[in-house]
Amino acid sequence: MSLRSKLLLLSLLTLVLPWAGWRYAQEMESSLRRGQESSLLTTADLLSRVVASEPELLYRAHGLSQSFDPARGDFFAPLLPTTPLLDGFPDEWPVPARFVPGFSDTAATPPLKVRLGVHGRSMHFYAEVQRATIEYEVPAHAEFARASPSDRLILLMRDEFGHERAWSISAVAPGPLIVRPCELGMPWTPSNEAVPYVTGVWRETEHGYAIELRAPVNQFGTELGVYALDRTNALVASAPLAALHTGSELLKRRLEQYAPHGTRVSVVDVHGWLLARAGAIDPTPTAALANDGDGVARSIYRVLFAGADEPVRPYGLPYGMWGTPVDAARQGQRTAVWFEAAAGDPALIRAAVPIEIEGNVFGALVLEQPGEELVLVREAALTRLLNMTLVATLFTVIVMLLFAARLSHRIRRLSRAASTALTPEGRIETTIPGTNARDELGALARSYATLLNRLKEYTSYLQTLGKKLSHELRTPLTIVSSSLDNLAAEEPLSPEAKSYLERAREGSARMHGILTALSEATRVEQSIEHTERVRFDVAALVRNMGQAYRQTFAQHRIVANVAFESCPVIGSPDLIAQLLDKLMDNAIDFTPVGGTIEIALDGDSRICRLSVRNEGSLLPPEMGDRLFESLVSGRSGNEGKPHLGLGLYIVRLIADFHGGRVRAENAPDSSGVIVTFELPRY
Amino acid sequence: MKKLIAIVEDEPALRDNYAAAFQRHGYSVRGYGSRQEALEAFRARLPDLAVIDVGLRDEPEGGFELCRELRAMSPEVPIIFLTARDSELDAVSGLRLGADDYLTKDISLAHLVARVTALFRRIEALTQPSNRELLITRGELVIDTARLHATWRDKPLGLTLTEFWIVHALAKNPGHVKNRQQLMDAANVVLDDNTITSHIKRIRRKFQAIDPAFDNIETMYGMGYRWKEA
Repeated sequence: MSLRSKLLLLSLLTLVLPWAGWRYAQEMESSLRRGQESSLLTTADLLSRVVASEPELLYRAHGLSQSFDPARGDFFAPLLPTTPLLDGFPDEWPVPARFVPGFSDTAATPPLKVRLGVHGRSMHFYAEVQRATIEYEVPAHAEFARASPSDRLILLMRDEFGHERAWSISAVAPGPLIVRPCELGMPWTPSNEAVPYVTGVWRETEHGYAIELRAPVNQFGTELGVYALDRTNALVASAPLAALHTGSELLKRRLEQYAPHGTRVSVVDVHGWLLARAGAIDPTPTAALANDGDGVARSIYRVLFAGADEPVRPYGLPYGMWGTPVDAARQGQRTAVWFEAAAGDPALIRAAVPIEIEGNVFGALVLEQPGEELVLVREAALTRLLNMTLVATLFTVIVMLLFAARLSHRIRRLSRAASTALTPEGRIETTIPGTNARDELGALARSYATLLNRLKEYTSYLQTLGKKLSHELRTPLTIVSSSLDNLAAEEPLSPEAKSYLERAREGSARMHGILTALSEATRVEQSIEHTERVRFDVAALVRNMGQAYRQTFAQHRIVANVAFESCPVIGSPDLIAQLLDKLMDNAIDFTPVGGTIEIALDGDSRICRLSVRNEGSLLPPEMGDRLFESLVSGRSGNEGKPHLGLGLYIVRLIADFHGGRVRAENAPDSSGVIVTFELPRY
Repeated sequence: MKKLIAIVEDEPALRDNYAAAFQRHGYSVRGYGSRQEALEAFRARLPDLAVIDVGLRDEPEGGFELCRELRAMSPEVPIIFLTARDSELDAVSGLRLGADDYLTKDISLAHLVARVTALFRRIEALTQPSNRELLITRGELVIDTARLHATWRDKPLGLTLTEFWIVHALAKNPGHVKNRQQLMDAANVVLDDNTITSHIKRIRRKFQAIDPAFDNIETMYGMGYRWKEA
């Protein structure tokens, strides 16, 4: 894995920071939530104890706590939420969102429908009766005249002491009611006076009639029965005597006293019926949260930290509360649940605690408080902290990445420079980048540069060694050969002296040959400097030289393949001839007698390719392009002419002069060696 | 009267060897180790021929300087340059200064002496009228083998002896290719192939100085050179 990837992986470790911060924030958030819940529950506990200290506030009658069942016919009169209007319509009793027995309309219209509600000190009563025809009372002319027979409704009230009372309700026409006390039991004979403090309205409906009346609460006892009679006192419909359970106005007032600001308190009885409700929740969120500047941050946080809030499900208000967490409280458990915002209410916490009297659960107290989904967001300081942590982490990661990239770039640059420092031709380029840096990479670059410089110095020393040597040796050699010349002229010489003389001459001739070969490269270099470039045809040259070689080197088979008719280039024909001579010299030396040497000229529209291929031994693989360096010889052993390894060096010099390249490689079928020279066409 | 040859060479052993060779052939010789020495002597008495080493130890270009000064003193004295360096630059400078020949120190003593003799002969021959029978004419080229002198379009080419012999070898058999070895033999020098190439280049330039369109010397790559008949 490259350094950059490693560093990238490592820098990913810094992501631990925001992750840790996120977990921390989550923990903070949930503990803040727990805190709010706990305090709410404590308040609820307190309130429930207040309520429990006055148990009579809860139930009008003692038995109501155990046995109240609207399915059986029992009546519940909730505290009416809105100010009731005596108009004969049951607007005061909204249809609940969930099924509430006694208050939800069933499919079939019952013969008698009864609704009750408490408002202030009054009890409101509503009844609907199905009648095909309605017979009204005939208005009496005399003040105390007996009532005429008509359709009427009988209300029977019984209190906890067993004391009963009955009212007869009728009307002369749709409009105000006539309410008279009447005898108990059939035929429910009404008296002549009206009941004081009771008013109501009679309305005709589609299917019959409806009555709405208002009476003081204390008129009603703990049981109620409703009977609809026709003019003959026959029972048309009835809701037989059953328990009457009401909400508690007193409880409501007590709750209003104790309910904390900004919370809503509700008390339900053990069955879930709403007995009282007080307090109000501020529908709009606190001003501090409407901070548009943090809007983006808040929505991000919402995604990251949102707790699990319950969706709102209808409770059955305003008649009762059935659902979580009230149900659990009715069983005796205190719980608090967070709810999403819905239906006009903001997001809330509902805390429900049981109201216990002497260890028995008599009801539940529900406390509702607005709870912003994210407590954290309220805590501006925390938000700022989180923001800073995130920014810091991001910054760190970026900085580390940049640093890693830079480091990796520097190392790669150094590595590239090092690998290209030695050119294929054996020259040494010593520009190593980054030697000014003060860190370890700079030190590495510097030591590399030093190394390459030494190498370059040494190599150029070696390359000029030949030149210098030959130059230095020339004069002493001249002295030796001129002395030998003079010696030869001295007569007489003994035969031994003559043979010594001969040997000395031969030796110095050989030395001379070596020196000449050594300095040949220099001569070529110098002549190259002064050579003019002309336009000439390489194809013609190669053809001519091929012919000449065939005559000269009769011991080998020389083949010349010239692919082009003509191949014009810019350069020096003499130097190309010299180059070819050198390549041929090599080829001749390496090819066994009778072997084939092939000179080929081909190429394409851009370059000419001149190659000399000879059969014979292969190049040692590790030589590579070093063959073209000065004084490098791939041969072994001495065979006559001294091999100084300059031939190919001269070839390379000539190749460079022509802007071309030369390379030596083993033939693909390993039959010999091919040396190829490419130069650009004109 | 013996001809006086002046040898200016800073290496004493060489100087003495050359001197011995010349003396054996009947010349009188004076040797000088530095330019100053030689100049003073020349001012006193001019030699009949000077052999100057280009690379005098104290002054790398001292030889050329000396040549210039000697030429100033006498336009006719033959001067041979001897050098260990065979770079073309030297050769060019040598020619511009009007040296008569340019040899490397590789040359054997026998060849050197032969050169000197030939140069003396040329001087003498130049004072004689030209002998028609010894003239070789090839187109616009006229070679006088007695006077060792060649002209193109009747203008003197100013060839050194080496160059003269090369041109002679080529023009003697026009159309025949002479390889480098043959040319070297003809010029009585031991030169390597490259020097022959530069000699040919110099020869061409001398022709082209008179006639820019000259191209009678044709390079036969791989084989040698030949004189092209017009």
